[in-house]
Amino acid sequence: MIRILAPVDRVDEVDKLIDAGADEIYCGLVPSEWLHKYTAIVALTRRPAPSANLKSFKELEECVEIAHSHNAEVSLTINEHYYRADQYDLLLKITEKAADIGVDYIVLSDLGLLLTLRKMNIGVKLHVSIGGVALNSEAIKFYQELGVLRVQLPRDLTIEEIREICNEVSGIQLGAFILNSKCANIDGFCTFLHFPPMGPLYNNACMLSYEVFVDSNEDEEKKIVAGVRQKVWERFHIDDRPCGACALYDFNEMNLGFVKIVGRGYPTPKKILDVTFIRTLLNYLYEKKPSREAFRLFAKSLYNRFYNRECRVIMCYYPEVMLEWSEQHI
Amino acid sequence: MERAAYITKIENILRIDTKFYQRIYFGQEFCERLLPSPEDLKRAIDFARENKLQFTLITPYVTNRGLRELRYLLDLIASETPQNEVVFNDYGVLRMLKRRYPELKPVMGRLLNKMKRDPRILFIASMLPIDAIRYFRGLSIDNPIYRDFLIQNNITRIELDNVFQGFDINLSISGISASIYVPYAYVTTTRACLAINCDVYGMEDIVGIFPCKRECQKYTFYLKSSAMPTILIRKGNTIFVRNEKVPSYIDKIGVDRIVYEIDLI
Repeated sequence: MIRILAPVDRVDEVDKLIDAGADEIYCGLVPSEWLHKYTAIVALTRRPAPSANLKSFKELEECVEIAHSHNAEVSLTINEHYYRADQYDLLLKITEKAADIGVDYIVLSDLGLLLTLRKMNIGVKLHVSIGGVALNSEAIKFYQELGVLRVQLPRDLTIEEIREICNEVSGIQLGAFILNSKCANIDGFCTFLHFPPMGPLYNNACMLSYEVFVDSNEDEEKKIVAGVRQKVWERFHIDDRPCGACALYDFNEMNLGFVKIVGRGYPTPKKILDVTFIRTLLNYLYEKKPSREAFRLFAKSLYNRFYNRECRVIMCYYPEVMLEWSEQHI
Repeated sequence: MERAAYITKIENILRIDTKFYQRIYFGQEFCERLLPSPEDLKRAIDFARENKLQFTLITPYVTNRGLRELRYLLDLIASETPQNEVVFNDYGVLRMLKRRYPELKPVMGRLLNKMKRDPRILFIASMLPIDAIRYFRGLSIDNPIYRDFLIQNNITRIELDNVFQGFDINLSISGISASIYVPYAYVTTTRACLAINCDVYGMEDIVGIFPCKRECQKYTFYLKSSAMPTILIRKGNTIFVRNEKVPSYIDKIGVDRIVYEIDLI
């Protein structure tokens, strides 16, 4: 059964999201000591905004207590792409405290942190985030040999590429993103900064407005079209309900371990809606055992109903599904 | 300071000044579809051999399909010139090198050091506390556990971009040396390449991991924004910035090779 990982940034969300159908929760925590030393521009997690993170270990402890009372596991993200050695005093304080509190998984990207936690053996399971960029089965095995129990596959794989990986690895849980925040770039290879809210000049680089100049020997008409196309970058990362729900049918076939709903920092009603949407689809899949085509039709209509939007290629995690679908139905 | 010429296309091999350079980098870092053919790789190896240049094969991040294609190239280089360097930008490729090609020398590629390359660091540097500046000028391999892991895996060279914020590292005491790439630093990369079908009207929003006609070889895009202190260069699936000014102190921090990028993607 595919597990749903839901984002939490406030204690009162834990019950609500589990009631809505989440199997597990994940959260971030940025202690004031970190902010004082580095500011939020040097991120501790991939969602550095204060609104996307718990504020204290007390809040984390409460989240863990509530989640565990429902038999739901808790993952803590410490998943910035890299940390320097002089940050480890604070990093290890955070991870050791999280382990004491009973956090089940640390979600991480930095190989240095992974190797350090493995050596320390602090009793918390290791989950490699998309920042670990595991695009192939050899990369999964690389992490597996280092003691990792879970790997989040990057957004940048097709369903068939995910299927091939699932066929070639065993003994490790794999997961995929399913909703929200369709990043234009490979997260783990993107070196642009994610600023905390600082005004429009500090938006994500892929959301800024650019003047585009085209260098090519092609004719002028083609160059104009090619230049206009590049502007799509500015619309790619805007969170207008990106979705990969149609792929749940295939993920279930592949025995994928979990799907992760992006959304730390989003309003609670939006998070509840997202969890309810995915839970409804999984229930339909398990109870009705539909064909792939019937499932996709159901997912599409449910998406329209929940989000009041049509499916769009640009907001589709696995757009090859939409193109297959349109070839069959147009 | 060793000088290396980096080309991604075999037709550019004749642009290499064999008197100036001591080494050739050949291959592809950003797209498995652009991996060279074994024939082109053989030509590059032969050219290096004939001109008494050292040779480095450079490899991209890959899917399982890319791993399979890469094996043809690794088989060839392992048989032609064992002990040569192979730059990996994917831990899956590293695993394959260790298990199947232990005679080849792995070098950790620039995509894996994760230093921030956002040019806007230049705008905010004066506002940041010293610990934040040090972070942006640093690397994760100053963690001794990470460094030991690299050395245990026979990785004694890492590749760096010439970042605008400069460096606050000292590799010279660590047993690891570094190369620095000029004039282009990569900033980000994607598999949802915006070159695919870019010149076909009506396909603007059809973005995904789709077949391509190598449109990247016909177009280069320059992106200008008042929010960015420099122009971004989009070539194929990757964004670069240009920074030709190499810091004067690089030899003191463990950089002993400059990799000159003759072409891009």
